[in-house]
Amino acid sequence: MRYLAASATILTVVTLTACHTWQDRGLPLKDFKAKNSAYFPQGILKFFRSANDFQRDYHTKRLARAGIKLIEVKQLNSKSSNNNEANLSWSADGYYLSYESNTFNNRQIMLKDLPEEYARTLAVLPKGRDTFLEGSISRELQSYNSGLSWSKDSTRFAFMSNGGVGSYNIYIGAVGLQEYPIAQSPTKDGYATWSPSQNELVFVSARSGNGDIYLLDIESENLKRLSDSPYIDVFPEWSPMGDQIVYSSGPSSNHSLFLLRRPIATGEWQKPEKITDWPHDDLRPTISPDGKFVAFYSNSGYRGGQFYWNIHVVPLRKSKPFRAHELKHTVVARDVMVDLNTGPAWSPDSRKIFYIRKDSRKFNPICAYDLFLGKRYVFKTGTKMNRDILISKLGIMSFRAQVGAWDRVFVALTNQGLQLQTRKSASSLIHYLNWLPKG
Amino acid sequence: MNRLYLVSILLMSQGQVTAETMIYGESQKVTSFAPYTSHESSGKRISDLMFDNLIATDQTGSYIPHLAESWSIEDQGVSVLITLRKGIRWHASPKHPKTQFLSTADLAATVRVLTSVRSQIPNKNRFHDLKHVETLSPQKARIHFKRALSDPLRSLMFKIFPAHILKNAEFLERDSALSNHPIGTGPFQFTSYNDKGEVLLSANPDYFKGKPNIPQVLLKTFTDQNIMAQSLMYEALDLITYVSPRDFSEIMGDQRLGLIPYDALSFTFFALNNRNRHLKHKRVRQALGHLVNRQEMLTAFFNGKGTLISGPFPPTSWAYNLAVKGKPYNAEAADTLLKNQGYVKKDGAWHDSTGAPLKFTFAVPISSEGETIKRISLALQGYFASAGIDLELKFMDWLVWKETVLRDHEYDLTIASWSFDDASNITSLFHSSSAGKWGNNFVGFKNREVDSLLTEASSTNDFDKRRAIYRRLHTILAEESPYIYLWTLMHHAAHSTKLSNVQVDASSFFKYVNKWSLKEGDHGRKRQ
Repeated sequence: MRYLAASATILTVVTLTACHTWQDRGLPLKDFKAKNSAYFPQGILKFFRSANDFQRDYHTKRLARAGIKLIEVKQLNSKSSNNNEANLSWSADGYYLSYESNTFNNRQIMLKDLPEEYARTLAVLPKGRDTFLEGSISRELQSYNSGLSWSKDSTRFAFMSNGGVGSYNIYIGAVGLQEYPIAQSPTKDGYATWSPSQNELVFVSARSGNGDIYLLDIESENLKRLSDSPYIDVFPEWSPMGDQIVYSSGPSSNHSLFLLRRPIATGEWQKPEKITDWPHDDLRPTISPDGKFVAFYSNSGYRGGQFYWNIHVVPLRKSKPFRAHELKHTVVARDVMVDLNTGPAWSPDSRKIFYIRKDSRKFNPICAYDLFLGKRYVFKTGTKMNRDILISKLGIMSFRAQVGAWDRVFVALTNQGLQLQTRKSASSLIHYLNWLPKG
Repeated sequence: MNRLYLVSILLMSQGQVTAETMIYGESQKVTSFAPYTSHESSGKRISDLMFDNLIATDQTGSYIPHLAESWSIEDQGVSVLITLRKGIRWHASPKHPKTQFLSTADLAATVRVLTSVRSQIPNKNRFHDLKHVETLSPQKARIHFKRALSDPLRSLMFKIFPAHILKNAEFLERDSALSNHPIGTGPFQFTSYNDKGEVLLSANPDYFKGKPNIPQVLLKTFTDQNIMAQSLMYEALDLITYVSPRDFSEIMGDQRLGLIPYDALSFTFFALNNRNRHLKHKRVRQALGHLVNRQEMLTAFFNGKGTLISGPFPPTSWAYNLAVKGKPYNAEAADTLLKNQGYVKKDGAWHDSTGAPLKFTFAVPISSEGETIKRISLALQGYFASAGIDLELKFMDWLVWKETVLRDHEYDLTIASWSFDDASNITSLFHSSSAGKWGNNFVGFKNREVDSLLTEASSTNDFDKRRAIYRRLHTILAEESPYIYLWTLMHHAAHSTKLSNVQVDASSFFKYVNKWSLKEGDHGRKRQ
């Protein structure tokens, strides 16, 4: 089956609905500091009614930060609709949230803030739809928009879109401005992630054959290829200082983790180094907010003739790859749901991993593991078939769960925000890593 | 752990994979190369590349010669006289370099092992009617059946194995000589296999339909379907045989990829245990059917890629009665049926005449595909709850589910799918004689008219009469509602547009692979 593209030049326009402009909002949380009985900014207090009670009941920061507390769980959109919601993303400051929604015609990205003062629908459409022909049968291409990643200052974003014309590129956007494609190629670009330190994007592109890691300087539009393997290189993830990138690469059922470094001294990217090396599939790494550890899924579990997925956490810096005899001791959660949209979720203080346990009888509950104490938590969220968990800088857990037949976005206020918790991470504090060599 | 029983594993060396290699992805490892012994669809598909059928069908479903050049049906379907093509060569291999030609000895050896009770063949019922082969010459043989068949050629659509590999084997095992040496006559021949689950095949230069356009085929196995789909989208693969509902829209939105629908050859249903004191009443079964929003579930869980059904056949089957409409989602109709059956609604919940609440258990099988099953079960629980019926979900491992449901019948409702080679064969599903332990009629449905019609349909060789009977059966089984019929799904394969002339067949995926072509992309490939 082949599709023939009409030859007309395709211009993109953006459909959007916005209540407010982004510039009006500025950076509302940049300078927010918690003090006794005041742990959340006004917008959050308005959205979560129980937040005030929590501030009253736990009147000192010491009381409020103890343990992991689930304060309130709430469905983001109360209106019912016949489409699935998925693939959440928080802005760097934890104030804005995006998620994706499938309609009959398009997959669109919804942007909003918790106080519900701002909302926008993002979908790139062609100026006058073109028709792709399959023989004599017309093929209406939907606009597919996905994978939004926020800039370091939470004012801009990057996402993948096919522009409604069937060619996936990375688009840069901000409220009030028209989105535009960057570094276009006739092959697929995706998995764009904005550097937490500079206006750079790392993304995956098939332009060199089969999915390699590329770096784009957004201002100069200089493009640099960072990986060159015979396999697909996917899931690039920045370290918080913007000097390292981890990703997965390898044979179809035996992906390993790789690390790219850019030493400050040279400012040049070095060749990829293998982080894990064993006969299991290591996928979707996420780096802890303090930049010291990497969590990932691996099908390292085996029971009753079947492999199952675990979450491992290893230190990010190491001179040689972790091998089986080391990796088998780094499991922090067993038999988990694999969420390739989000990966294992770190708490803002880099101390806990949040994940979904694959447990039919409890409809896949949300759990957490405290890496320092070795303590495990199971949360009573009242939701079922949970997926795509993330935690914002302010401690709001987001996830999707099934309501009726549809997936809906939920948000849950916790005491895990960085305004309450402090970072004390070090390898020596992770109870199971004491035996590892330092370095 | 799934294991591939290969005595001699030939490791793949790097560099064998060239730009002219078609690379395709599967989500299950092939555990046996011997046709029919594999539990996985990946094994079935790769056997389509290496082995040929005796008789095939064209796109209209008409029988056409394949390894059999011609045939004649004898004694009203008790036997078929077969003439094999001349000059068909078996694949050569380092261990079997001598040229071997297809002969009736191969046909006899194949039927011998396919009909053996000791052969490890899942669903071996498909070969039940075969009796033996009478060889008349190297090219002529008579295949005998156990009884007169109205459509004997359907029973001859099996793959032929090499007698020089089977030797004197009486039965087929997963760890057999044929699995170790998968030598067929098909368009591609086995080259190598490695412990990553990769299988490399090369074009058969002597293929009787002409050497395939694609020089090599490489199968790669993925642990995660999404990674497999991403590998296609980033051009590390040329084809994936199954697109999950999650990846469908993203692939659909890429003009460099083509999507090919093919019938899943199965239908899904909620089974209602007719032995239950509530479910033995037709009106209760019908009421439950009205409470299920089937279209919503099909859209939410499968992107709407399927068709709602009103009976135990796919709509494409000759047996399907298009005049029978499915039960619409209609809570008021359900209320009326329950009231007419004597149930009373109090405080939003239904009660029977004794005042006991109307409640059921739902046996949920947990398998590797369990997430979707769980989601469907949860949605059903919600539909029933909103109508005032309590549904308790009981999760159980696959083996426990089989014992609980199929052997002990200790359930009220469950979900299942029937796969079919011949969509008309529903006798065991609804005949009262199959309602015992391990019988396919595990819902315990008993209806004299249905029994009589099923028996009559099985005994006639008159196709028109059989079709008329089956359409009547469809009407009755929709009215009686032993199942809540849900849907038959449409699966999709996806491929790079570098592959052209791609056409697949639902029951034999690579049937037309000989006509496929692979063109090199705009850039040099560096993949493996």
